[in-house]
Amino acid sequence: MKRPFISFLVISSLLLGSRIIATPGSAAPSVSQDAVGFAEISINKSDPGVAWMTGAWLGAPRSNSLKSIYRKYPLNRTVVGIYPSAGASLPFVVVAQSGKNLAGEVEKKEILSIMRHEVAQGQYNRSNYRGYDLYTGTRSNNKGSFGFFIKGNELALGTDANALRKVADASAGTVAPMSAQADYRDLRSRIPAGSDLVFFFANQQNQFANTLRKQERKWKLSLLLSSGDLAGMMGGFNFVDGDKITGSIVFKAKNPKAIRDIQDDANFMGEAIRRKFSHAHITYKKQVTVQGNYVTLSFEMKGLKPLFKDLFTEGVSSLLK
Amino acid sequence: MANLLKNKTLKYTLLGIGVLLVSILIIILLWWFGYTPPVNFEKLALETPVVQAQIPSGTNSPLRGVLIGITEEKMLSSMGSGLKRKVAQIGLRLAFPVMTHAYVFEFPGEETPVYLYAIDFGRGIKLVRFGQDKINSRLFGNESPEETQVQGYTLMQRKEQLTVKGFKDINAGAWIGSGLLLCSDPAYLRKVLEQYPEAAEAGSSKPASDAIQIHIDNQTGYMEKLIRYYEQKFAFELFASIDQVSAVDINLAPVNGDTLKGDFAFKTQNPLQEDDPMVSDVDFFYGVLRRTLRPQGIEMSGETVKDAEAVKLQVELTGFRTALSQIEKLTAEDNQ
Repeated sequence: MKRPFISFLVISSLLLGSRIIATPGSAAPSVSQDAVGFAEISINKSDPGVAWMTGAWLGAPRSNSLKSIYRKYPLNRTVVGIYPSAGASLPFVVVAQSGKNLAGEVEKKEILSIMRHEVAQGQYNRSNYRGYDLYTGTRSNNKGSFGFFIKGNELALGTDANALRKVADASAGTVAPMSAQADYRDLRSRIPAGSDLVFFFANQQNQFANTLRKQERKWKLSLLLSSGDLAGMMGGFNFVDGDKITGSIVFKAKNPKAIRDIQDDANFMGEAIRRKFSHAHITYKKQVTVQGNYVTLSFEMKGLKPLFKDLFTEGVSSLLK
Repeated sequence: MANLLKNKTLKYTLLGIGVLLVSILIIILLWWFGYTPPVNFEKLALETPVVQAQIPSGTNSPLRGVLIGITEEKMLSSMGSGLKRKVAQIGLRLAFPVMTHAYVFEFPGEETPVYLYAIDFGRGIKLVRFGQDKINSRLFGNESPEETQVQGYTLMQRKEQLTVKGFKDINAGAWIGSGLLLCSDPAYLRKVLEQYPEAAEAGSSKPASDAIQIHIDNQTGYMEKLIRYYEQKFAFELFASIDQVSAVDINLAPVNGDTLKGDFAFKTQNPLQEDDPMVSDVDFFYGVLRRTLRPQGIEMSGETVKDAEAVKLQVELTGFRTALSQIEKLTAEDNQ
């Protein structure tokens, strides 16, 4: 099985492994409407699943800037936004929200000192955008660019300065956020309430399908045959405890004639997840249902603890090996 | 004109030229239609192959046009559009293979299988032979191959053998009758030539059908080993019931130059249960195949059906022309 496909299957796990945090019901107002999609996760410390995972993530030996920031200023919500691009790589932004103000002189200085490790020689260029100090720099070994800015209790970081500016625009209210879209609101009502992790891909203007196709050409594998016929797609996952996840992924059809293809995709995706995880001795149950223009893949996975431990310890490669 | 014809010398000269032209034409026709023993495919497999494939591309096959088109695209693209290209085009069409067979043999204790290919050019061999040296140097590189005589055939083999990593590693070849044999293992090709019948006894290479046929034998666990290797490598359950599959027969008949229709039959010796896991495995295989072919521009539609002895995936593939171009492109990329 091709690696990109497997990586797609475990996207939600990756998002968690990529340090994403949020509160149930939050509407990710920071990601502007021209993004391809976003995911948000809450850390509700009273939720046993999320609490276990946060502990496992913090306890894992791998270090990164966000983990260092979390230790100083516990985060309660993180949103990851993915933006379209003409090139092969996809610019992304992470907006991490803390319960504390991050924009004070001391906090800013501390965050800047942590962030110095992200770029070559710790060198950032500082510019001003919408009243925020936007720091941009180049990663070591030509690994692309990196930037961040702080706004109140939020830290926005990412791989593309333009995407960061769009986040600032959405935060300032000059650009509508993705969460204002009708499809987002519609699909949000169709996933289980209180989901710990929610992701949404918008496709009214084929932004998701075009982005996916570009990747598919590179991978020489089509992940979703029906991507062009989708209006949007949303997933909601609940981390019941460290070992069990329940959730559903809802596909909304733009073209009702494509329901069969969408159902085929949902079935295939469910089957591929089952096959990936049955090999790792994880129990997986799934069900695909169709209701009007909506196809829903509901699932339950058990026995995930070893997988998450590997993920937090060894990183994404542990899932792809 | 009448006066000119009255000139006896001229009259006989013209008559002589006419006779000469007709004679040349007759000689060409006799040469072209003269008998050349076709490749006797039945005599090539000394053991039961684990994979056997036949690709017909004779004059009646819709595949021929597509395959010629792609070869033209690859070989003649640098020639522009002049007379040279036109002549090359005609030559290619006349010399294009009518049938190709491929075999994979496995031997106990051997890590790599033996790959054997037989290409039958039909009458086109007469033209192909003109470019034989060029073909040999394309196959074996600039260093001319070592040649030995075996039963009247010339066995060519690389002076420095390639380590066989896959189906493209050719180490030996031989021209027989109307065809060319290529093999990864010179010793195996020698054995084939030693038992190959005299030219006059050679059989017919006329295909039983226009369909592409592939037979993969799993009695000795050839496919199971491959699948389990990839399952281990990717930590993924690809085809859990592969140990129940005794053979896979693929039969794809061209409907036209762009569409193939046929089936993949996964045969088993055990009776299939109502909700046999093999059905789910074949369904998943179909899903993977559809999704792998889509980025190449090929649309696959089909369904899985089950009978007493096999799970069959009945399919229709469109965009076949694009598919072959893609294969050419991928091969070219691989070679770079």
